[in-house]
Amino acid sequence: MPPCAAISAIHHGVPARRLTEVELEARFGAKQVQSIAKLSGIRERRIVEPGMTAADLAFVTADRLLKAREIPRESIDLLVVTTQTGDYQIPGTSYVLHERLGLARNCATYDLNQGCAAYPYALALAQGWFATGVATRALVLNTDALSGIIHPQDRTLVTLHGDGAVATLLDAATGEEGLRGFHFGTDSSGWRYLCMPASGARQPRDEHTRREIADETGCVRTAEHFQMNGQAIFHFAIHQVPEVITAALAKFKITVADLDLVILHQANRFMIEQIYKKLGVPVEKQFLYLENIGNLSGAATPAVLSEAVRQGRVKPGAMILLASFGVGLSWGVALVRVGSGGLAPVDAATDVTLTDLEKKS
Amino acid sequence: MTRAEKLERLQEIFRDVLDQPALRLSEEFSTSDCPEWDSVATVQIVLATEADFGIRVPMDTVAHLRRVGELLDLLP
Repeated sequence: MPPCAAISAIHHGVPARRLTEVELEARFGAKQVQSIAKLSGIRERRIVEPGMTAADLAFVTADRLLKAREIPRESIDLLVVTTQTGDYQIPGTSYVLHERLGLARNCATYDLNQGCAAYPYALALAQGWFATGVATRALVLNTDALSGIIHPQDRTLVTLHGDGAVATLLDAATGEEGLRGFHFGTDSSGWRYLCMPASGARQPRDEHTRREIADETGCVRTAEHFQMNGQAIFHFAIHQVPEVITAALAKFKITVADLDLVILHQANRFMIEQIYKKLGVPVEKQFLYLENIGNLSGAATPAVLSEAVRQGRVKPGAMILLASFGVGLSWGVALVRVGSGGLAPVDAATDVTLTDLEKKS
Repeated sequence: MTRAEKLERLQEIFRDVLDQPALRLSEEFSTSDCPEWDSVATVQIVLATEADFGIRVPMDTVAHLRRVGELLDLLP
């Protein structure tokens, strides 16, 4: 049997800066904000300050994990970074983080352009490197700061999204623990419904792409901002995710009864509850983490796992299903078994400030 | 089922989702006629319609749905 990767540590970080309901009510009106919050379950978001990027969040979060666990930097032979808000178009953010984290020259780096479904994709990619014997210890960084690409007057996106990063350390499994299965898929007919139109070669930026356009509900955006057709995405998720998870469970030859925790991408509470209900997931196997941080895009799913670990919800030997979906439109499901020794929380802060960026790794 | 009968069933769904018990629905009724018919209401209307008529509304239709007639055209 080929070597299997296992999660040995996980930690998340969010900007210390809070975007509260009070601020949003002043911007969009109390009725609109309360109406969205009632459905989304999101009361507060964390967003980066000027001068802070998604790469910064990933750096501080990873640095804290490596220091807290006393992981020698030279022992990491694979770095996987997923983000849609990198520091540069060229090079990939993994190179920037490889240098900042002080990783070794024999450490491979890999950038994955994935949105909300990033975590299962990153885990599967790393698993492949373990299985082929190329990697023995991997650091997976999921990070996004969508606040910088969302128009401040786009009510539908501003109210839902926060910024954040998650660092996951993978080591070779020694027992039953590890990444036990994956299931992926794509419905590319919907890629236009989560899109930043003027963000590459297809639509170069000019004075037209900077023009602000208000839709019939008063949401403002330009072609240079991230855009979402909320009703298409919502409908896609409500139908597609339960079907995908059902197919994944059949593939893994297990049922919801075999799972200890079912973790879903944190798009909004109503959607998550609908999916849990369709799948018959009992409340003790559910876990939500979005009320005070918002939807962290590619960092959302691992942030839930990280917080579940911090709250003691991940027991030794636990079987956890992770399901993520979003940009593409894509989806990914990962089945994770925790080792008999459990998964201890990383003893480090989760808030990230500009002062943290001045500290050396 | 006639088109008028389908419209009547849709009317019940719209009344329930939009919380407007006296709403009179027409094929031309659109999002611009009703501020409460927002993107969330659209999803709720589509899900209720799918359950009631046993259909799956295509994603492109959901994405651009603005008028009752567009939904009515899909009903068997």
